[in-house]
Amino acid sequence: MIPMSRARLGLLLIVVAAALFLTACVDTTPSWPGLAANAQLAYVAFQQQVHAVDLSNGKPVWDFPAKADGNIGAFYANPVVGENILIVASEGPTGSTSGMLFGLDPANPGDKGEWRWCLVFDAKGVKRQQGQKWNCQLAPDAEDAGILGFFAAPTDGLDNRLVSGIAIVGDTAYFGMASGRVYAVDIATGAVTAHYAEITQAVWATPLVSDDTVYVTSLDHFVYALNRANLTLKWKQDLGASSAGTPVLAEGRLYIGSFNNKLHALDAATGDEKWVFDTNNWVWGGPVVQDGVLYFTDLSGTVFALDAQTRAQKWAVTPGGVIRASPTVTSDTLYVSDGDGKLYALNLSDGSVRWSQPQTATGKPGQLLAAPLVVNDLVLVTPYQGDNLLVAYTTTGEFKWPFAPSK
Amino acid sequence: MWDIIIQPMVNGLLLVYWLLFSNFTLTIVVFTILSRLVVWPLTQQQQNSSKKLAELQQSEAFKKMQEKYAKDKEKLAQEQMKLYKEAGVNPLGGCLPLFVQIPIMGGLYAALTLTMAASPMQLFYLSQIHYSFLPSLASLIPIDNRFLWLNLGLRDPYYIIPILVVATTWIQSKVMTPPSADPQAAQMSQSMAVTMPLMIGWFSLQVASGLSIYWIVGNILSIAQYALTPGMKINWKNVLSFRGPATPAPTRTQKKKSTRA
Repeated sequence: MIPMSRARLGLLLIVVAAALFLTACVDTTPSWPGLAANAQLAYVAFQQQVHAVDLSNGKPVWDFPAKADGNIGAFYANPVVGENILIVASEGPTGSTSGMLFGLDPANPGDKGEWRWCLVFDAKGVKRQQGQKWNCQLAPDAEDAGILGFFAAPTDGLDNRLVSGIAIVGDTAYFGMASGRVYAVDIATGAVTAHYAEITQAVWATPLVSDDTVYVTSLDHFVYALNRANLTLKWKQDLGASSAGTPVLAEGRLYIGSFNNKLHALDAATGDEKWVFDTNNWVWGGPVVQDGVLYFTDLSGTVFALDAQTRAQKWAVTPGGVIRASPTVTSDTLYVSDGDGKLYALNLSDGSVRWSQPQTATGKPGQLLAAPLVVNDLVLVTPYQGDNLLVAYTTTGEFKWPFAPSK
Repeated sequence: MWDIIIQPMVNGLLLVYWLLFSNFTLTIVVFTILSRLVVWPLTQQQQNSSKKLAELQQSEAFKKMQEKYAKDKEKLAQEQMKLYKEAGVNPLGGCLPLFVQIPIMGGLYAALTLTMAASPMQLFYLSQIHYSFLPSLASLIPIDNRFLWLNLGLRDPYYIIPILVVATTWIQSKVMTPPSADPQAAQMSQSMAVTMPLMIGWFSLQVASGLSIYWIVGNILSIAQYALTPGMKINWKNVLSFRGPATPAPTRTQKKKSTRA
């Protein structure tokens, strides 16, 4: 017979362990998969690796890093591919929120330490990399000038993860961080050329970069226009609620969605509000514009088409479930993806469904929370928590191939 | 299934956050108090059961039985069970209410994690489970999760909060453990007093600091509840001791044993 005191101890420990285990039932994955592509390869960033997939057949080409590494951490932000550079972002060493940015050869990134450059956003993170003898630069505002290196650098203790996407224009990459900081980085060397540190809440959207301005939305309710040359503030405008979508610019106007069920049209030069359009729910994804028509979605699952100048509604349809992501527009089709895992191709003229794909032919469907990407007559989607990480359809709606990373 | 527990908790947290003028630290404190009030009868039952057991273990009958069957562990266990039965004490009675609390504790942790909305996925999920009749979620976002040097949605980069978790769990366990005449039970209490804080401390290193604050406040409230319960005596002197709780004077058999050793 087991002594009763031992049984009590055992039971108590089981109870505590079970309570702790139950807390793990919450999905703590911070974001859905990130996606980018060039003419040959699609790049999917999710969890511990970035996968390059051959667009012609869906076969894996390389993984970065070759094996998951806790000193690099997880990838979620949209990668960006330039002429001869692929930039990917990780959360930083597991357990940290240091944030890391890597400049890679898009055709063959090599393994850990073989990157072209690496940038880390807090001192703790860079110490881990130094321990690995990897050559990583520390962002200049993360440099430590304080006593014993404690509570000293401005980025210490911040959420230095890059969860948004990265925009490359010319020889510079622009991005915002969960800390609210915005950076401009030389894509050849990884050197920070400018940064803006006055935003105190998260930036979750890829910045929009025009000839001379970088537009950034933030959860702090403001949209910021920064000088492209040095990231100094031109103007900022209160949207009345958080915004986490990339704005779009057309004919001198900036169009932005916000969480207070509104789409805003601002004067791109001054930030003055031109008009506001009320929606049914949060506008999380950014709008797109084509031929003077603005297309956008809201969390109620409604897709809107408005005249960009007059805000006159051309049509509104609700094809399926909740829509978080931006739509993607081509010359004659609008692609939207929903939380039920369906991809819809809508006619631009009236929003009618041309075709839809439920993913079921490819295994267990996952939620489609990221925007579809159209490349080489393929429509790519990244299911979240489904059997596949990337699924390709033709632009006519036929299933082409699935990709799931090897386990 | 899990949503049934989490959804009301998340919305409750958001409501409290709104009522407390968007102060998330205060929200955690108030919500911990409210959740402790909900499980108050269960913890009371648990504490009463522990008290009865401790009293029984200090009774003359129990001590005599220990002396009598000191060399026959099997028989001792049988007799102990018999004694518990006669006294109407369930030795596991203190643990059963804990089982009921598992989903509440787990749910609360999950709800806190979600409500802090430190990542896009958490905010998306939050937007899907928010009750539409409550104040608009958009008006509450972003959740102000800064407190002193902490981002409540992230781990404490300086490990101060996990240290406080270990310290308060240690204090709670030391001041609330009743003395036992059963050396085996005392030994177990002692090992538990060391194991539990370390286990919870390790957990605290892995999770958002907001959850650790919940744990610290919960520990303080447990001590307060114990102190307010009639008949319960807090053993403050045990806090600095690495030994088990003070036990009554050893029995003759135990004295003899220790002399031989």
